[in-house]
Amino acid sequence: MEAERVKKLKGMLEVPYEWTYSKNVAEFFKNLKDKKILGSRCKNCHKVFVPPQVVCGICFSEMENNPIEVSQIGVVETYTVIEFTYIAQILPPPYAVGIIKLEGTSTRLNHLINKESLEKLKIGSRVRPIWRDKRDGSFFDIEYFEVIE
Amino acid sequence: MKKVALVGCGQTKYQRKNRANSVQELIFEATQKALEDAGLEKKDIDTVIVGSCDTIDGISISNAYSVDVTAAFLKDESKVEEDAAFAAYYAILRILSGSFDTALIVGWGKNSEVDIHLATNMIFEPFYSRPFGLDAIQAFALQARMFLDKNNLSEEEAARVIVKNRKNALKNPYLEKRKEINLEDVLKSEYISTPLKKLDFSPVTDGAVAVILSEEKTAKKITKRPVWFSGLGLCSDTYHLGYRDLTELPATKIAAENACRMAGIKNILNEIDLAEIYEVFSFGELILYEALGICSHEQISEFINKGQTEIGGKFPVNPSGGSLNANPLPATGLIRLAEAYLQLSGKAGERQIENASSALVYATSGLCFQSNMVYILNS
Repeated sequence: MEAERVKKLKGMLEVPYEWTYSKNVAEFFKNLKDKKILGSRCKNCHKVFVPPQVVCGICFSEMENNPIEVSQIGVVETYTVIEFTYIAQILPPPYAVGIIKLEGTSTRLNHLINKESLEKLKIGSRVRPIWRDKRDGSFFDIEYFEVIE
Repeated sequence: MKKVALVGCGQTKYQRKNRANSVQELIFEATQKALEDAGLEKKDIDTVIVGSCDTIDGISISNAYSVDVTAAFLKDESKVEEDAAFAAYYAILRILSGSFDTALIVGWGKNSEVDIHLATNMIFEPFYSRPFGLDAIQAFALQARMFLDKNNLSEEEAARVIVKNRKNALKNPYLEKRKEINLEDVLKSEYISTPLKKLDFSPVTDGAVAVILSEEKTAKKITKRPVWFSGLGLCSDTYHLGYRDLTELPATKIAAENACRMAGIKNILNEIDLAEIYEVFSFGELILYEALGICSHEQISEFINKGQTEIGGKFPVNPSGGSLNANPLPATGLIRLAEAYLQLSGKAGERQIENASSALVYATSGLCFQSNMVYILNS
């Protein structure tokens, strides 16, 4: 078999990075420790971006200086239940990821939705975050969102 | 304005796991075939632009490694790190600048050499999205769920896209033979990321493609059947999925409208003969029917159910089999351009649409149709 004669090189890239946060992104992560979710508001159109961004891409305008705290109750705008496995996953399938819009905000965030919620999960489901007891200022300070009855 | 034409193309076979050839051999094969098709030699090429992905190639600025096999040695050469169809756009602009007569565009992807889920996970920014292990399949699944819900469609319409494109693929000699499947086979197949099944996507693919463009006088010397660019549209949406309307695709609409306006097209369905579109996944083709202006969202269901987009239908879409059969990222959009060229120059063999004289070509880069490239072509 010709295919078996062919040699190949096996390799793996492991490249360490340190990505600097923008100012309002740093504020966002810092406040997660205190169970607060912050959004940034566009100086021009006043849309509230969660998670925060450096600029409002629509207006090409800066955000207001101080991020604002937003509601923690949200609505699932879309979701998927993941059934396949690959190496960058943090949970064994099946698990769900949703795009969630928090009340009073203009954009949506991605997060996990817990297994217990899967049966009742649909577009329009109301959800709230479940916080970890030990928080270190990462997106995983929110363990997941759960569907509210 | 100066005119620019497609004058030749070359494609490798698109295989699930090509263990016989290196990526350089694939690039060389596509380049050589394109030159042969146009009857040109290396010396006739003035500028080379490639489309490749460093993450997939596993080498930074990977066009540095491909200079020799793309006939670019001691030539004007550059690259786009997006779908290779976008490279054609820059080639057109270079020709229109008057500095270059003939351009070679090459795209490749040897996706079997990398964990493609991980490569698409790298598209997500590292702060808010990548840590969840998101990849392209999950992103398109989120889009598909929203699209189904909003337009009151079922998985059956998407399954019909798969059946159509798999059937078309049987006529394309560049594709591996896969058995024809029916609606039930698709609907019974297992989910990978709801509402999407394995069959909603292409198998992981290896392959390369090249096309050659020339300005008007040169094009007429090269071939009796040049295929002219009559419209171009390029538009990008915002990056974050959560900041976009994943069902409306405003950037796709703008790209299509701009291309049609430039070409003087008012009604795609009545004035264009076929489309080759990079649909990425089955629902993608349905989403794009509306976003490109082929039909309204109320008509999507009827459009696919009545076979309007089959070979022999009113408006064939992806007579090549599209990207559900071969998706060698990031070369797939350029394959659509090559296939449309074959159609309009009468070289499409068994998959030839009779009397085709105009085509719409669509390519995309990024997640959920973020960047959009539309070409209108005329023979």
